[in-house]
Amino acid sequence: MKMKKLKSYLGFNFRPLFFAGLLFIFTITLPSTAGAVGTPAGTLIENQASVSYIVDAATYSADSPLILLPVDEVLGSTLTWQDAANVAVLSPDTDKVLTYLLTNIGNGTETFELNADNAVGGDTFDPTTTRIYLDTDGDGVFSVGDTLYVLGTNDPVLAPDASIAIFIVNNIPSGLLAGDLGSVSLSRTSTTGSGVVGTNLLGAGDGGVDAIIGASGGSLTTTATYVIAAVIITATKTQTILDPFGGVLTMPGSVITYTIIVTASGTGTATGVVFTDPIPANTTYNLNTLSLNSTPLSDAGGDDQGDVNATTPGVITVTLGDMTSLSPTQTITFEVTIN
Amino acid sequence: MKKVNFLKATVALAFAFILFPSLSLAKGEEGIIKVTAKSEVEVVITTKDGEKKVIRKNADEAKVVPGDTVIFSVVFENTGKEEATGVVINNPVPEHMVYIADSAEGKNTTITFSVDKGKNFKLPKDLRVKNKRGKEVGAKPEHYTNIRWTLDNALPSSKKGTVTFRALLK
Repeated sequence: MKMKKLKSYLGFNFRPLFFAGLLFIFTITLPSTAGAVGTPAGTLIENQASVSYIVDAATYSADSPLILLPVDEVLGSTLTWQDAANVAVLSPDTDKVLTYLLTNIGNGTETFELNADNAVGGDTFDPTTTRIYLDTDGDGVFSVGDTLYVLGTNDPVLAPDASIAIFIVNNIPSGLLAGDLGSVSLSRTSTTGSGVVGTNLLGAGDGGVDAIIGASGGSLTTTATYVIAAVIITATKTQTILDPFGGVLTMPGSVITYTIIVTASGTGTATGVVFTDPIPANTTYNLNTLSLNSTPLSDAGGDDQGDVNATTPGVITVTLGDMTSLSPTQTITFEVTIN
Repeated sequence: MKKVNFLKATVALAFAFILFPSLSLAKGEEGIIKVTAKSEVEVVITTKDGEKKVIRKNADEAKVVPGDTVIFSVVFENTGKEEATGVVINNPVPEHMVYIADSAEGKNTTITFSVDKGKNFKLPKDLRVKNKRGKEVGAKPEHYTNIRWTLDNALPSSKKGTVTFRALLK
């Protein structure tokens, strides 16, 4: 008995095969603490003291002049990456979304300019075709109703405490390996100004009050990352030949036993893995020889995980279901006789 | 007839007291106590020698943003010839601001606070407010709506004084 690897000639395929990767369900929590930001810029703080006193048994009172103190604007915003972990993608892949949340934590209405950079250092690959979308419909999830962002055209305007979800959408190049990382950074700059913390921008605030650059510096960059999570399903097919004379010759009447070992590698989950293998030309399938992990499968369709000719004529079909790198190795065997 | 007039006058005066518990000064009328309010912030400056120094600046010349502390001062002066007794200074905590605990100061004054916009004044330990469940609890500085300084002594002619407090801009 001779084992022969047929790696270069694998007459099978997977159909349909979805490399789903890990499905992340993320929710965006919008700040619920309205008013946390503080008194709006331009508000006039009024202060007036009064005095009362007695002179010669008569009581008098008087007010101080009213003092008005305008509240200046402090510029501040936060930009946070919302995905719970690196976003799993395939290689190649298209329109993969990174989600950010931009919040105005200043006390004035602010306009923000956005810039995305896909050439961030320290990663394995650069995502391509980088686009920025604004969460126009406000559902926090990238959807049809969201608008493509164009710098200087539809810069988001946020009232104090307001937030907007921002989506960076990229394509993923081909030829990457599971675990490869690709980062994109998003920066936002307040159009009122940016620079050193504490810088005073005269008259630049709401209603003409001064604007002061707060702790977040008016400009901020946040990086988000994709990880290649394609599950690589590996099927190794080997065959043993037994000729009618007890030898290993390939001749009419020789029985070929195929063994296919299917494994999953990578960091994600392959859902609905279906193994299909056409019965080789010039051979005839030996009835009732299909097995999965040493358990015989009937040739008929619908009664177990496998069938022959039922799902697709001339094809062996075995349903393997979801697979991860932790799934046990799946071993499929069947026999054919050379015509 | 004189008697009747006196009676009328008394009645009128009584009404005046009912309607106006204190005599407010009409516009242009000079009272003997002048009161002015001032708002300042503390800013750190670097001196020529490179030393850091905290100075007070008029708040409207400085920048006031949420989270900043403003020092409010009330200067009062007896500009009259007679002494004034029962001198009480009242300063509401401005809207959008929170009184900073223990910040009210005033020499020879008794300082009380109100949590009901000046209807009642009490010492901090005696102030009560209702919490969300309607239960009465001790008031905290953020509940204070007014501050009152009652001078312990009479204010003689041409004497002046200052009282202060600090509040945080929300």
